[in-house]
Amino acid sequence: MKKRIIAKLIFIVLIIIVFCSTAFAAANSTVIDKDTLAKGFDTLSYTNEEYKELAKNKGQNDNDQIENLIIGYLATEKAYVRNPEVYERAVVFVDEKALTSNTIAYRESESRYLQELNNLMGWTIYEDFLSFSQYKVTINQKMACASIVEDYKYFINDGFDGESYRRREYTFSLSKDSGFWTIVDIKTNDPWETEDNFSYTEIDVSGVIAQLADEMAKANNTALNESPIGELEDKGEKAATSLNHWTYNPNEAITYAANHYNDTSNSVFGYTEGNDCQNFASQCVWAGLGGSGSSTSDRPAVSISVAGSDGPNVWQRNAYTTCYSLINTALNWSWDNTCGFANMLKVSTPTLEGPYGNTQYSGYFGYANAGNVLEADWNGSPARDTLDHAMFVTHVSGTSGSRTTSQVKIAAHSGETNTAYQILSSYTAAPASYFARVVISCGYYATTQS
Amino acid sequence: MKKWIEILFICAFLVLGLYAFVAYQADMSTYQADLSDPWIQEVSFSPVETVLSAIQNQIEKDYTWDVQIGEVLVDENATERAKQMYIGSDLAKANGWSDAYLENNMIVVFAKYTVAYDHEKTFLPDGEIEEFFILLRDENTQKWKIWDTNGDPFFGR
Repeated sequence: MKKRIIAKLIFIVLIIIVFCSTAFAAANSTVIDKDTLAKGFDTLSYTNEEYKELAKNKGQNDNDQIENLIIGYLATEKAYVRNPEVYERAVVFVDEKALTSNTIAYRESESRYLQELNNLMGWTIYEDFLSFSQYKVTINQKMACASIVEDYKYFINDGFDGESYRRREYTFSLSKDSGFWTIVDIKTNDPWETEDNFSYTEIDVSGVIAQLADEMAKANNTALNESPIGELEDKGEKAATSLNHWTYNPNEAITYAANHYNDTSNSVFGYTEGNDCQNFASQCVWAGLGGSGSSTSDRPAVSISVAGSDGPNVWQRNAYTTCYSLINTALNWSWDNTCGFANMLKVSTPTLEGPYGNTQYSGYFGYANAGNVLEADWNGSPARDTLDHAMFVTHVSGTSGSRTTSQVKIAAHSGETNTAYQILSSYTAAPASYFARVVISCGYYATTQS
Repeated sequence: MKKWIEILFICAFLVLGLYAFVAYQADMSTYQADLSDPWIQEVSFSPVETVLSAIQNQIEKDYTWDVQIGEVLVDENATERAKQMYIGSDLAKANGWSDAYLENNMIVVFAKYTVAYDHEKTFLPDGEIEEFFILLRDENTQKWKIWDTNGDPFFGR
């Protein structure tokens, strides 16, 4: 009898031990599911250890393990940029023998650069959403090649509102050792990487950051110690005028830009396929001066009947002055042509009807402001006769005088921006020195502004 | 009498011939751009052919004096750049373009050509032009049509 009771007690204890072990194991399981992650997540939702466990998880087969590994790598890379105190660099997923390869060194330095740039600028990615698609893998015994597309949305306090977005396809080369896959090579479909002559060289992160810090310090000193450079610098003394002052409202211009950046036709001003950039920018300025309705000749536009056939202030869609016929005929077309528009503002005076402002051909990009028009010379020497492309500035951040192309947002036609607020550095790789700045201060007209 | 009839017939033929010649000349340059000025493009299964037609047909416009085509070819780097820029963007959403649609139906053709324009009729810049043409494919007809152009030399880099 006693033996039976003891046996039953032992049996019950064993059951409890097994049950508790299972529950304990389940409670402490840190293996996250790749299928859930592929749909999208905030990269700080999981710990460093959870990503490492994911990467080690063999899953059901080699396909699964490789997918686990590359998702773990890409997630850790983003989490490290956001919080380097807590997350390791993603190279922990890379084969030790591959750590010295140029592609791995380049990739790893790219993450370090982003993290240190954010640190220098005081930026924080306070929210993100990472998702994956189009996973493919080819396995040949102990070698594999896998590709995956990453969609990365993030919110960063860089002075701009709204989300930032990047899409990239990665191609991984992997090798298998002792039953586990590791990464030996990583490439992306960034356009510069796909060029034949692209060289994978580790970014000199400390050097680049030090240079940037130096430039920022110089710019800040200039802003603090020198008189602010006025928008009408070098215009000379403003002449007295009998014309009426019209207010230029950049917000109205920006609203127009937001409503029309995506146009491929326009019932009032028409659309010139392949060359609509200045027409669009002129329309934004026209709206900022209170322009509305269906007339292309009414004020704030300036028709030939108002300015005269040779007036330097003719500013009307598809109309031209003869003022510059012996100099450069492009300057005759101030509504439609980049050189013409910039020159019209440069020579504008309060005594001639039309927009009044200035054009600063070089050295003033850092002062770019919402409501300005930027004019690019694709050869890098913006001047009266060399401008190629017009963009309307819809938003800026940072300090006036030291703004970079990453701190200016634009709307443009021909080529179209992908939003009314596209960051200039994501639109073109042209440096700041390639841009002239056109400032519209106000307008002067014979009639009063309605 | 016969001679007069012969002379009349000859004159009639001359007048008709002159009329045909004048009508032919007028027909050669009938396109007059107004506020809107589209590409005169012949959509094609080949994006290169579409772009070639658009550039060649610039000669049909009353402001064009001359067009000489240099090179026209698909640019893979610029195509990737365009897809990266537009897939998932506000513009794509506004136009109803899915990620898959743009991934499979957007392509960039690079063209180099020389053109001369009458600057009393157009503001367009002329001389040697280098341009990226962004085309979209109609999923029904499978033909490529120019959607936009980009003159930024960094676009394909």
